Amino acid sequence: MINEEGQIAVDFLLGISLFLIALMFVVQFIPGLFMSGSAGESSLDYTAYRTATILTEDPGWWGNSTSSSTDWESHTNDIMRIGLAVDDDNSSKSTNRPNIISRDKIIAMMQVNESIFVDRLGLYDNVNDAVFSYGYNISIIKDKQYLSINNTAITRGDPAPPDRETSRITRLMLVETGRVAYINATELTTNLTLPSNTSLINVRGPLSENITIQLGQFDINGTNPSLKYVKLNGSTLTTSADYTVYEKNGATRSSPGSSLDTDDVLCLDFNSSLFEYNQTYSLELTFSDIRFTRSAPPYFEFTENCEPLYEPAYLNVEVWQ
Amino acid sequence: MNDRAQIHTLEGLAAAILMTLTMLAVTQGTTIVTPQNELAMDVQLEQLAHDALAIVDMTPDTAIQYNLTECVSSWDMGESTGVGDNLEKLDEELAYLLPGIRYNVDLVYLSSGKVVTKPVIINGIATENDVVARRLVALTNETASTMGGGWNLADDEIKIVEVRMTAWKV
Amino acid sequence: MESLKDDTKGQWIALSGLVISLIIISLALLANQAVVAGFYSSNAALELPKENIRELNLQTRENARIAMDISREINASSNQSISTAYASIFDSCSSQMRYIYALHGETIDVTLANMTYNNSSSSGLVWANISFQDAKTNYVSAPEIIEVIK
Repeated sequence: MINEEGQIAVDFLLGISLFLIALMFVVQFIPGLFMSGSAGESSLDYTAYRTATILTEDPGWWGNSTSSSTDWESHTNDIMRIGLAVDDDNSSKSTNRPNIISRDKIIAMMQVNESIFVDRLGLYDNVNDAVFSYGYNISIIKDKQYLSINNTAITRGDPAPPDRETSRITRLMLVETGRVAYINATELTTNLTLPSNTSLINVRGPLSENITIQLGQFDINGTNPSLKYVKLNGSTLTTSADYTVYEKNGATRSSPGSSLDTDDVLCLDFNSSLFEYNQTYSLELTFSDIRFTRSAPPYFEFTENCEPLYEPAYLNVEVWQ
Repeated sequence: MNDRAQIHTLEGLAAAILMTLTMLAVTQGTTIVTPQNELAMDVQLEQLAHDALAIVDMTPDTAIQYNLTECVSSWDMGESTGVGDNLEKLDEELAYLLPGIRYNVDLVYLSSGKVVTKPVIINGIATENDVVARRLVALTNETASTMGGGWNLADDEIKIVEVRMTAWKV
Repeated sequence: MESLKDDTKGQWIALSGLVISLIIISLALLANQAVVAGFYSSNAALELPKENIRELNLQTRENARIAMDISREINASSNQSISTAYASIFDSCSSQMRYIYALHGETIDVTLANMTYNNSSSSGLVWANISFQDAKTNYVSAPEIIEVIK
């Protein structure tokens, strides 16, 4: 029976208004939920990939009103693009070597002002003219720990939050970690009577980077060829405190075997703190059962024959909202 | 008291509570944020595989002992038969650079006018989500004889060989 | 009490509440299925043959350098001029690359436009025209100037 009284029961009004309030609330809330979920994710992927690619493959660029070039690490006031790849010849446009990273650029990257860094690398999102910068973490990992240059760990940004969605990409690259000279052992000279087991190498200080000496093609004269000791300016150095010895096989290092073969490559790493003064240091290497048959002078000059030493490392770029 | 109208209130209240609870349950329970996309993983793996080949190709001798040209020059022209590999130097170097990733390597080149593909490193059978990375090397008789390979090249010939690496995650 | 049972007027409020809840649940399920986030960005990154184009450029430069060494040797041992020897070696490299790239669906064309050689400094300048064509990408670098220094 239709109620013809023309009054709405107050309780009915209460019920329907409660329902409508809840309905309005739900209608407002749900679309906002889905929108933020899908729209934000794709730009995270873009950003991580783009940042990792620019850092690994591009040498960077600086420019002002008079000139511009790729050595932005010397012109940190006019940075236009931040990249870490080595560029051999600044004046030519096509000598950059992607995936090969320069030490100076890494050091400069760690020191760039935060707002310039975020702006040049594009680590932000533009939503209706409001700038939201992403959280980021850029680090270089070598041998399962952060690469260390001048005693600073190369990691920039905050640690990744565990409760949020992050987008992460890893690139492989060769990082400059020191200086190296490959020496053919038969060309080393000695100042003692020939044939001798000892050879001398000159190193001119002061040095700011660790050095590595790679020796190959030994002239073996005995049954048990090996390195006996190393003297710096007359005083013997201790292994593992002052220097490390290893053999190089392809890309891996192995501890030196009990005897060396002719085609083994023996590597010696020296810390730069051993060569900190402005003088010429004399490194004396004494082997057993290996001969050196050329007499000095001239001695092998390390500082004039060295090139950058590159080692494989991983660049991790992680970004989140 | 009028019993009839209370039902309206209660039903309105019930409807409101039901909607709000559903909404709360939906937001707390389901993951609206999507898990890592398959395609994004492909991009990562492909870039890493390319990087590894690029590094082996362009490395100076002091960083990695045998670069890609030298490794390929030292090949003795024998195919890998499924157990082990035929280009050990390259296999060791790639294994060091790509931990946790399995790969097969083929060499593609022209032999008497026809293109041949020879497998040289076999580490398993590729899965569905594999990526392919390619790199070219140019061989001359000089490099082939220095590294002791079985290529029979004339003195004035350059042979272009493509190193094709199929990589997948284990 | 009978009148209470018969009163069905308010049921439509509860019913509509139920309907709205069901709609919310189905929307959430649909959104979960839509795993397209990240699709376009990853697809774009996979589609552009950045590495292949860069490799083509780098390999052409390396071929130019090696071909120069070999032409110098040929010129020293026979009476063939450097430019003829160079042209034939460069063409052989380009045709090998063309076959290899054709295997994965890419058309390339590397031609030698010009070459100059300076006898006294043993260096040369090579002009090459490089073009690369994929299903979706077209790349042309003409001329690519390569400096070959001994």
